[in-house]
Amino acid sequence: MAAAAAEATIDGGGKMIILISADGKRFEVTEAVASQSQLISNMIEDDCTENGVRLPNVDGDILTMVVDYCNMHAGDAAADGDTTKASSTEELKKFDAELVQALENPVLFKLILAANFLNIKSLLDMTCQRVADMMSGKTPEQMRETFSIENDFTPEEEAAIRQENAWAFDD
Amino acid sequence: MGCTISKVFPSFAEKFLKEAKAGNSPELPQDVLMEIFALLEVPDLVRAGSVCSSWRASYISLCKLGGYRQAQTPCLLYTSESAGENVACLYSLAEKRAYKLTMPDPPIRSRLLRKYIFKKAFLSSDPSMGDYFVALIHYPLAQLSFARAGSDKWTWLPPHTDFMDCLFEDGLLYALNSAGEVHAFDLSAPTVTQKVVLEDVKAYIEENMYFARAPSGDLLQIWRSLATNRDDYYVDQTDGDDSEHGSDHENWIDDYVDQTYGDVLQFELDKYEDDLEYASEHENWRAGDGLKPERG
Repeated sequence: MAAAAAEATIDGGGKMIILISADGKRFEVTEAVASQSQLISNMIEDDCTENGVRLPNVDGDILTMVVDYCNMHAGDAAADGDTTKASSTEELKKFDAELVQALENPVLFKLILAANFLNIKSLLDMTCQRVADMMSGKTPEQMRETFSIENDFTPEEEAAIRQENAWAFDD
Repeated sequence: MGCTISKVFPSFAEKFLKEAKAGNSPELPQDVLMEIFALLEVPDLVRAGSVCSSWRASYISLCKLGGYRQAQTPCLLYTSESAGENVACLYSLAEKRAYKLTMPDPPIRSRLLRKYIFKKAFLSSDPSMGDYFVALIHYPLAQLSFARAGSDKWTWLPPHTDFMDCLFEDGLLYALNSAGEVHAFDLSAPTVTQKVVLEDVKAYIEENMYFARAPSGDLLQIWRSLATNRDDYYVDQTDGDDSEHGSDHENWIDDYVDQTYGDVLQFELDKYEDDLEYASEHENWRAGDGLKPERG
């Protein structure tokens, strides 16, 4: 998979950046692709990407997704008129919709953490919206189940919290 | 282009199936949770705040910061007999369901349906100075109610209606109605006393009416015409002793600018000062101490 990502970027040309995941996987991407991450964009400006960018809190699997996403979206950012590289708006929409639909926990939360750390706003917005959509109309119990969250309240605490806004909890 | 997607996308689907089953969900930091919660409809937000302690902390922070930016899907607020007197029903278009909110007294049902809302409120003194009264002119019929600081309910002062303005003076509450009648209430008496200190001075309602204190210390009634083409203001000197007016009221009710009699004076707004001077010199305008009724 990493190979596919690398292959897709080589014909994009430009200076290449190496991203290194927590588990040591290496991803070679163009500056245009990498700089969709505000974090890496700042590092490129500061000239500290020479020996590769280590991302100690992003797993290889998640970074693969992030790189794929950035490759698909490099077109909007680059805007250099090279239509063979830039994906059409419609294709991007389809890609994003399919990506978002496929996301489930724990991958969803891991991807959010990566997007937050790397500061890729469009990916963060998209994944946060996915979580919000998944919460819609659910009871607290259903939310816990959906996101594998442990209820750490005592029964008394939970009762008091529900009492505060009892209207929202009657089913 | 299509082939780019088919080349990339299967790798996702493959991975998700594999990954979704492995490992625990990481905890999201508070700033990210707040981003997510800010996208929710209010009922979802409230429920999210009861999922676990870290979600609750984010919920509370979001509410405190007022960082709630989601444009809410409109809800319909209504009451119904079957739901009860104190229940407001909130129909959510987003969820296509109704929520029931129990409200404190007075019953929301009668408040909403009778337009039980306020017109004007008056303080007897600066609340920071301690004990004080609040007088309230309220709908449906511009009636008067009051409450003392610390009290948990309003006391209605029946049976009069159509009050226009109020004034606290020398420990009494003066209330002016649309007929120019002035009532004095002693709210601090064990049983509230009421006295009419000026009988009605006009028969119909055509003006907004206000109390005003003249530089001379006299208390005036200001009648502000509601008629469209009149910018003039009319002033009537209210007097604690209404014997001066007697039965002649009717004379100037028909022609309420009657300078020869002197009860009413018409003046232009920009001549306000001059006219007040004239008024105080006019012998018929002498009003003694103004409104100083005997305490009941």
